[in-house]
Amino acid sequence: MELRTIKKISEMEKIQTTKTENIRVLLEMYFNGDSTLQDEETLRNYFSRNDIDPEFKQYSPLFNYFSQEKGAMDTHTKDTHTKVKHIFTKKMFFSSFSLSAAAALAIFTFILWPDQQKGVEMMIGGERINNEQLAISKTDEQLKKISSMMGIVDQSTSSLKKLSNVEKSLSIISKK
Amino acid sequence: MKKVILILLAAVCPLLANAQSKQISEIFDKYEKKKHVESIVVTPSLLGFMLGGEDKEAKDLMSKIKEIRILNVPTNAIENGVPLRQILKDELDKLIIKEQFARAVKVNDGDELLEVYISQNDKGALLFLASSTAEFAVISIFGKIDKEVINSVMNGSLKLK
Repeated sequence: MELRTIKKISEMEKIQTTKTENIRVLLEMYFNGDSTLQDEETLRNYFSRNDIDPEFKQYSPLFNYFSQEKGAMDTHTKDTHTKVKHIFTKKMFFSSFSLSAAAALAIFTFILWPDQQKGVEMMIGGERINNEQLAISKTDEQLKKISSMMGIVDQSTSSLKKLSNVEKSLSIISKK
Repeated sequence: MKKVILILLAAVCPLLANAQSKQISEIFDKYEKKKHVESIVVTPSLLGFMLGGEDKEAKDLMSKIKEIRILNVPTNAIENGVPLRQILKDELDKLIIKEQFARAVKVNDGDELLEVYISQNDKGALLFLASSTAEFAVISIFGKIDKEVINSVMNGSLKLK
């Protein structure tokens, strides 16, 4: 029983030694600039653990920094992506909104506005008559009628003026 | 206190003027739907087009007149056995008394009678009631009614052609 435990421990130590050896090799490769991305990933994973060999503890901040940075970069990229997406959606909304507004304005201007802004509207017996010329001539007819009637007032007032002038002249004569 | 009264008057006057034009417009709206009645509304856009141009007087007139409405009721238009022109005239007479329109002119020329009424406020209406044997016509000019507007109608310078 004891022998088996001793054997197991020695096996584990062997694995540990191999691992330590591996890390040493990887670190050497890393500092020489010969490491692959996969090697760097292995190193990062190793240094993110708690059971780091005291020999390599000095490199821990370096790899932890890289992993933290990587994580931050990932989050930032994700955030930026979301932000861009958000802005894009917002932009899309506003552009689609302004497009609809422009379309509505165009419809209003070209289809509905002319009806609203018709210069003259005429109705006979409650029915709309679409004859602008007739409406204009009828309006003018009425306005002429008024001005001709008012002409009578003008004549009368001028007669009154004449009369007052005559009175003035007469008063001068009578004074003499 | 005086200030408050003046502010209140300033606030109420345009409302009163608007009320006068509104009531006339309501009468027009009511009668234009009736049988045989002829109604014409000259909107500001046409007035601008017809009266516009380089003439300063015309431009001035255009800025004052907001709308012209005409209602023509022929003598043969009858409603419930009563001539429609009579019903309309009665309604207008009531409004003239109620809203204290001032009668400017009354001209009687043979069979034709013309009465001109002006609203108390200058931002109201100039109302012409023209009566003849064939028809009864009501012409209303809405807007800022001042001496120039009245003169333009009287001397015939207000025309659309």
